[in-house]
Amino acid sequence: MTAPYARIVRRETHSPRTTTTIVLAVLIILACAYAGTELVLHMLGQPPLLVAPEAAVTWLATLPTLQPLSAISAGGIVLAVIGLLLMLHAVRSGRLARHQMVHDGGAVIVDNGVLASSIARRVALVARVPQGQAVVSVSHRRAVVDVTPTSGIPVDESSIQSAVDEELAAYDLRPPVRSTVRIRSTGAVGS
Amino acid sequence: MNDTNRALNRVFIFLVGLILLIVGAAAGALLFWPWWATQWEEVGKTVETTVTDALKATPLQGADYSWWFLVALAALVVLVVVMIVILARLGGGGSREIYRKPISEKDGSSDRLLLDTSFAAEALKHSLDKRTDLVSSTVGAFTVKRQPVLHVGVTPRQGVSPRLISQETDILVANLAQVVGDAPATCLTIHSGLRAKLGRDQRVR
Repeated sequence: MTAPYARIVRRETHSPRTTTTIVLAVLIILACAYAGTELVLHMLGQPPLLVAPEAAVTWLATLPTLQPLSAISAGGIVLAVIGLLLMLHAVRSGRLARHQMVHDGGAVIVDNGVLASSIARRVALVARVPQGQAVVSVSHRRAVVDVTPTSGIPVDESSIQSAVDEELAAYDLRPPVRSTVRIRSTGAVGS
Repeated sequence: MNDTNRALNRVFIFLVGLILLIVGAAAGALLFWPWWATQWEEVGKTVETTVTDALKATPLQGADYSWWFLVALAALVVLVVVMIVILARLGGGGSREIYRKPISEKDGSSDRLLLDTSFAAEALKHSLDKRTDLVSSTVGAFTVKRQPVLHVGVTPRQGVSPRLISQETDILVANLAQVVGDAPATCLTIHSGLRAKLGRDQRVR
């Protein structure tokens, strides 16, 4: 019995688009509630909250003759752009800032932030700089290490590079991450 | 790691986006495309008269409004119900048990072992809470492809190696397996929590 790890990893590293779904569904429910209220008010012969159903139909039918037309067009364009963004949101992969760590005992998913802080700790130790002077950012396929040496104390770039590679090799990430080490030419004043 | 139907989410978002795009583009084109505006006006007039006539022609018995209003109301209710169904389908998939299997065949017992999620969660959480390199942890179980999977989520302190965490968590799960006889399928997620982000320690240690 093999566990469905591929599916787990896929689901843990991609967005389920749940928030957008909830927001849209709630907005649609609210819109329906409003339209329903207007209908019932009209059927009971009460004055409308904003606009009576028949007036709404007339407004829609005579939309091109209303003024200012530029405002109507602008509103339409805004609506179209929102629609386009939603369609893109539905189609795009929704990859989260996480990596799979290859591991025998099961599926392991690590946030990029955890990887970055772990590498930063190691780099700070190897370069012998205070922790704030080793800044690491991890993206989908890259880890960028920025080291600011303490003024007057040179750092060894090759040892930092090998330490970073060693860390990354130990993590064995999927997709693999390549590293770039950058040493700032201006040092920080000694702390 | 729940049972949310992600394809349904995406189809729903796509359809709403498509409708917004069509409606918005139709309204947006009015200013720039005179032919479209006159078309809209003409069709609008016929639609308006058709609707008004239809509403007048279909009065409900004993009331002074058309039964079309009831139809419209029913359509709105159906739409709301569909939305509620979509919302209700989100989430789920939690598993109350880690696994179920026969207790050792040697003793001939016919009883079946059922490892409750809360038992595993209590046991693991107790061990995880003792670890000083973790800020917080959660333990639960989900059913993935009809198979229960133990889910452990941890938030380590700043700078702790994720490899170390996964190895140590493995030991804990192995201990659990020793108690119950079989290792459950596990999924470990390591999060960069808010406290790990904020609690930055600048000193060299």
